[in-house]
Amino acid sequence: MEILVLNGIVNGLVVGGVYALIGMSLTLLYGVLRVVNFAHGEMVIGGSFLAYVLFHAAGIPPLLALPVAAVSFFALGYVAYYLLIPRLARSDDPESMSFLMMYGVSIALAALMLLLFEADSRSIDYTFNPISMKIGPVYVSTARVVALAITIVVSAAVGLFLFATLPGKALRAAIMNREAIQIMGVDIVRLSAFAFALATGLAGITGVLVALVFPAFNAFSGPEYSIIGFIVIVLGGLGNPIGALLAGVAYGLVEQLATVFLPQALAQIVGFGLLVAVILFRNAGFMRWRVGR
Amino acid sequence: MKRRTFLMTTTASALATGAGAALAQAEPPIRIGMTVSSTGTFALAAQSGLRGVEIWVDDVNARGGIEIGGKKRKVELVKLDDRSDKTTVPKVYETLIKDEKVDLLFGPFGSTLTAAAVNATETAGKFMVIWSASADSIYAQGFKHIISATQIAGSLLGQPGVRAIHALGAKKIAFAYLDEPFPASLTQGAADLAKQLGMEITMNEKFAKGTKDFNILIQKARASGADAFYPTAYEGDQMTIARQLREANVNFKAVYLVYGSQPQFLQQAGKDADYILSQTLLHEKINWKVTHGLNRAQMMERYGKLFPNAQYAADFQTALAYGAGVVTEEVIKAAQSLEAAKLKEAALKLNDKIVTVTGEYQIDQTGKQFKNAFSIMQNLPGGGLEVVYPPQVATAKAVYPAPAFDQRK
Repeated sequence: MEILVLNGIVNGLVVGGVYALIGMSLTLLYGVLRVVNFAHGEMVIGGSFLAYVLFHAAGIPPLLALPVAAVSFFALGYVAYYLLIPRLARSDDPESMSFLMMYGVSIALAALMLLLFEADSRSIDYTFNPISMKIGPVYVSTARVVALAITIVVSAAVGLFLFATLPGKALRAAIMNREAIQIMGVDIVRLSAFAFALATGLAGITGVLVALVFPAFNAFSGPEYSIIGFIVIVLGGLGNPIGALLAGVAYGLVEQLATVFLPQALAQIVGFGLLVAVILFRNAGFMRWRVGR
Repeated sequence: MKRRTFLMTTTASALATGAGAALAQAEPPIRIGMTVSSTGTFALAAQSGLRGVEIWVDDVNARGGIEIGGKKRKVELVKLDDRSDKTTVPKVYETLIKDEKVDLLFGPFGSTLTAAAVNATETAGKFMVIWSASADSIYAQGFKHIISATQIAGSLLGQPGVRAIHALGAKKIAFAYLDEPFPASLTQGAADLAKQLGMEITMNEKFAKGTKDFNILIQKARASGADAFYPTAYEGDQMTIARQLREANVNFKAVYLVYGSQPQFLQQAGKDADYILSQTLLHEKINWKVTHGLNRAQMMERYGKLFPNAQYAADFQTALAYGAGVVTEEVIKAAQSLEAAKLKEAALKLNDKIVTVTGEYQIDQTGKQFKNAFSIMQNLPGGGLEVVYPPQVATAKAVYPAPAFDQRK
C-alpha cells in the first residue's frame, strides 16, 4: 500500500502540474478578457498534434517541439484575438457571448483536427533513455519527470513575469480592475491581445506535455481538458493564476490518491466532490480571490 | 454509393441472377432476402458483409446450386436498402417476406438492425441467418427461427483470451475495463470463464470514460499479484495502458489487449506493443482447415476477382458473412426443406460438424453461436504477429512469460 500511495503522490504531482498549466492559461484569459474559453482543450490537443506532426514528419523530438509550439501558438493566439474577441466587446453580455462563440470555435477546431488526423487515437512513439527511473521504491517514467520539470519551469517563468515585470503587473492589474488601468493609460486592447496570445502559447506547451504524460490523444480529447481547466480555475479562484497553479496540483493529487483507495471509476467523483465543496463553502476559491468586475 | 445507384445496381443484379436461373433450369431458385445499408453509420460494414454473401452465392451457383429433393436449385439474393435505420428495417423485412416472397433471410449488419429485423421474420415464421449480431439480448428473447451462423455472442467474445492465458499456465488474472456496454460485457464473460477454469481473479475494476491516466490501476493490478493483466477498452486507452506499463516497468507474464493486433494500434504503439496478446478473426496467418466452403486464401482470391474495384480489402465482416452463407447451404442440405422449423432443427444437428473460414460452428436452442471464436495473436518485436491460440490454427508458441521490460532489446 505504501508503494501505491507513493505512486499516487508522484502521479498526482505530474498530472496536477499539467492540470495547473491548463488552469493557469485559462484563468489568465478569463481574468483579463472575461472570455470563457470553451475551446481551450482543443488548443491543448492542437499542441499535442503539433508535437505528433513534428516528430513523425521531421523527427523532431517532443522537447524540441516545446519552443515551436510556444511560438507558433502564441502567434496564432495573437491573430485569433483580433479575429474573434473585439467583436464580443460590442455585445450586451460579453461573457455569455464569449462562451457561445468559443463553444463554436471548439467544435470547429475538433472538426479541423478530425479532418487532418481522422478519428483514430494517436501516440508519439518516442521514449526517453532510460524510459523510466527509480525514485525510492517507485518507478517513474522519465517523460513524466521531464514533464514535471518543464511544468515547474514554465510556472515559475509565468509567475516571475506576472510579479516582476511591468507587462505582467499590467496583466494582474487588468484582472483586478479592467476599467481602472485604462484610466491609467494602459492600452487594454494590446494588453488583451497579449494575454490571449500568452494563454494560447501556454496551451500549446501544455499540449506537448499532454502528449508525453497521457500518450494517446485524438481529435475529440479536447473537451476533457476544458472541463478540467474549468474545475481548476473555480477551485483556485476565477482569474487567479497562482490559485490555478495550486488548485491544479491539488486536484491532480486528490484524483490520483482517490484512485489508490477507491475503484478507478469513483475517483473522478471525488474530484468533482471537491469542486462542489469549494463552491458551497469557499466560493471564491482556495485563494479567496475575486475578479474585479 | 448514392441510394438510387445502389437500388439500380441491386435490382439489376437481382434480375440478372433471376433471369440466368430461369434460363438455366426449370427449378425455381432459393430466394434469400436481406437488407444492406447503402448509407448511414453501418454502410461500410454492411456492404463489406454483403460482398461476403455474394462470394458464397457466386460459388454455390457455380456448383449448380443446392440440392433439395434430388433437384439442384440455384440461389437468388434479394437485397433491399435499410439506410442504417432501425425504424426502416422491420418494414423492409416485411416487404422481403410478403412482396418478394423470399424463402429465408439473412440478417442485416449489426445487433441494432438485427434486433429490429428479427420480430418481422419471427412473426412471419421465416428462418433468419444472422452473421454479425453479437448482442446476447437477441438470443435471450426466445426467438425460434434464428441462428447466428458465424458471429460469436458478445459475452463469449473475450473468452478465447482467457483460454489462451490459462493454457499458457497463468493462475492469477487481473481484469480492468472501461465502464461501457461492450468492454463490460466482454470482461464479464472473460471473468466468468476464468472462474470456471479455476483461475484466481485478483482484481476486477472498472474505470470511467475519460480516464487519462492508468498508472495507479496498473500498480494495483501488479500489487494484486496477478500473472496476467486483461484491461479492456478502446484503442486510445489501450495505447496509453501499453505505454504506461512499459514506463512504469510493470511486468506481467501476459498482457491481453483486445485491439492489440489492429494495424492502427501496432503502428502507433511501436515497441509498447511487443509481446502483447490480442484477438482477431481474419489475418493471413489464421487458416482454419475448412470442412465446407472456401478457405481464407480462396475467399480472398475470389473477392479480388468479383470485386476488383472495391474501395476496401475484404475484412472480418466479409469473412463472417461468407461463412454464414456456407453454414446456410449446409443447413438447407441437411433439412431438405426451406421450412423454418426444419431448418432450425437441421442447424442444431450440424453442431461441431462444420468448420468455415471463420472457424468452428456450434449453436444452442436460442441460436446463439458458441464457437467461431476469435484467434489469439501475439505481437513479436519488430512488428511480426503470430497466431498462438487455438492450437488448430496456431503458427507459433506464445512467448510466456513475456520478457521483463528491462530485459528487452
